[in-house]
Amino acid sequence: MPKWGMVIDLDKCTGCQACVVACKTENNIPFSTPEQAEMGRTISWIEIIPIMEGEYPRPKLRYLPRPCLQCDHPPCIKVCPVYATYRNPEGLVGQVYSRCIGCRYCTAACPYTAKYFNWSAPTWAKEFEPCLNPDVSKRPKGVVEKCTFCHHRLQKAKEKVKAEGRELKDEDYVPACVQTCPAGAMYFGDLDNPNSKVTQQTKSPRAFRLLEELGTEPKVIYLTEGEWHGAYRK
Amino acid sequence: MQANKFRIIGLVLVAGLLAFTWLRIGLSKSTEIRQPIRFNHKKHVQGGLECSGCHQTVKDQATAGRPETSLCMTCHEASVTKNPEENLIREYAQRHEEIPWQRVIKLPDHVFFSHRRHVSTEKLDCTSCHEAIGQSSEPPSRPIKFSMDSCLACHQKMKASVDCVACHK
Ligand code: HEC
Ligand code: HEC
Ligand code: HEC
Ligand code: HEC
Ligand code: HEC
Repeated sequence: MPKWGMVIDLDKCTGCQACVVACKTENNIPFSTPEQAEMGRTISWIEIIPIMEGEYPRPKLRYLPRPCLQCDHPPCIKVCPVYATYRNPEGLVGQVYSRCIGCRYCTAACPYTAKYFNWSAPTWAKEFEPCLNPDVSKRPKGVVEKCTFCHHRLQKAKEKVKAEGRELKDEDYVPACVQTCPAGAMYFGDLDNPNSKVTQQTKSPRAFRLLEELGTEPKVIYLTEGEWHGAYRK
Repeated sequence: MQANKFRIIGLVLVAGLLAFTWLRIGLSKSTEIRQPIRFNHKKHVQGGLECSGCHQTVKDQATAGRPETSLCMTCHEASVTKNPEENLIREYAQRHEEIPWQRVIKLPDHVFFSHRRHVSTEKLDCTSCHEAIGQSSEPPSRPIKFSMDSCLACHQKMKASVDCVACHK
């Protein structure tokens, strides 16, 4: 059974937001209005979190792209009272919208703020409706959603390789953000395969994981020369 | 006093009963499906037609697909029966219209189902899921439901995935 993981090289990331746009289009994420944004209700499965360092006149801006980190010990699933969010056999943290009762415990429990609540029913301009992705459902008002590592792409890939009678390879399944990244800062693959690109990357001395001390064991691993350096031991 | 009480209870009961029947009729009307042509699966299948001859994308796509009017016309260019329903096909064809077939089976938006996965790679027979339709001489008049339990029962039996996000998208 593969264990899907992502590596994001922060030294390559330019903060261009292409991953954010790709994600929103791929996953039918509604545009938010200025009013919703004001209330902090914008949904963005992957978010570029800007981190300001230093002081004027030499400020330094760093960017941290943050999808759902698909923790191996996810705090969110422990608080769900209805099994709407759980860790699946391939290590992905699933979110079953039809099961969700909208209590938002998981949203509060996630230390990475990766979960989003639908405060209103999603709407799109009529012209935009044909652009919606039929492989991803439109989430109704009152449920929590988050990045799925584009799980629907995995489903399609599995079906394709089965029809072609071969094994799934790393190239068969790539989330939209990784596919789009123009800086080549994102990698995706099987962390259990010692030869995969992602596994190789995690051996880098630049590798670290967010809030390592919490013991959540995220499957998104970051790379940087910066001060986070060295926090990932495995 | 007592008599009044009974009268009120009686009135409420009658009103309730009326509302109930009215709702029942209303509901059953709204779920009834009327196909534009009374298509007879049994006759066509007994005639030796393959299911995938009309539902042409069933082996390589998620949806099975419905036949185009032009496909019906390959046999129905001229009358083969005395059934007036048959003329309707030619009327649609003359107007260059597709026959507006209604959906009988429709999973909710949040469920992912692919025929290709089940039919081409697992070689499941259509009848394992669509028992009756190939043998019916009338189009179904009501929506056909697939319950989650029916999916899971077979998945458990055949050792297929029972992971929630395999089916829920
Ligand atoms: C001659 C063409 C033809 C053949 C052969 C045929 N079908 Fe159909 N099928 C249709 C048409 C037309 C409809 C739409 C009308 C209806 O619902 O009866 C339909 C509808 C259906 C539906 C309902 C789909 C929906 O949601 O509306 C199912 C299920 C189905 N067919 C299964 C089968 C199976 C199984 C077989 C083989 C045993 C088969 N069909 C053979 C033409 C065909
Ligand atoms: C594993 C169960 C299963 C098998 C096997 C199966 N079907 Fe279906 N079929 C379904 C389900 C479930 C739906 C409803 C799909 C939806 O709403 O997205 C459906 C829908 C349909 C429809 C109408 C919607 C569409 O996809 O166009 C047709 C026609 C159809 N099936 C034909 C067939 C034929 C022909 C076969 C055999 C070659 C077949 N099915 C085999 C489960 C099955
Ligand atoms: C391969 C040839 C063929 C195709 C394709 C075909 N039919 Fe037929 N159809 C027949 C034959 C043969 C009969 C007469 C069967 C009988 O009476 O036993 C028939 C009968 C009928 C009847 C009369 C049924 C009755 O109960 O008397 C209707 C209606 C009909 N077809 C509709 C359609 C439609 C709609 C399509 C396209 C989805 C279609 N047919 C495609 C061969 C075909
Ligand atoms: C008659 C048996 C049967 C029924 C009924 C059935 N399935 Fe399946 N399903 C299978 C088999 C066999 C597989 C193949 C597993 C594989 O490819 O490893 C499968 C695979 C799948 C997969 C891919 C799972 C994966 O590993 O990623 C999905 C999704 C799926 N089915 C959805 C459904 C849904 C939704 C329904 C109910 C509407 C349904 N199935 C009903 C037999 C069935
Ligand atoms: C094999 C496919 C399959 C799997 C696996 C599966 N489901 Fe479902 N589920 C369905 C289908 C099909 C429906 C729609 C049934 C219907 O139309 O009534 C459904 C419906 C539901 C509903 C009801 C939604 C509503 O609107 O009423 C909930 C809740 C649900 N599933 C939760 C789950 C959870 C939680 C899991 C994992 C433990 C799961 N499902 C696994 C196929 C599946």
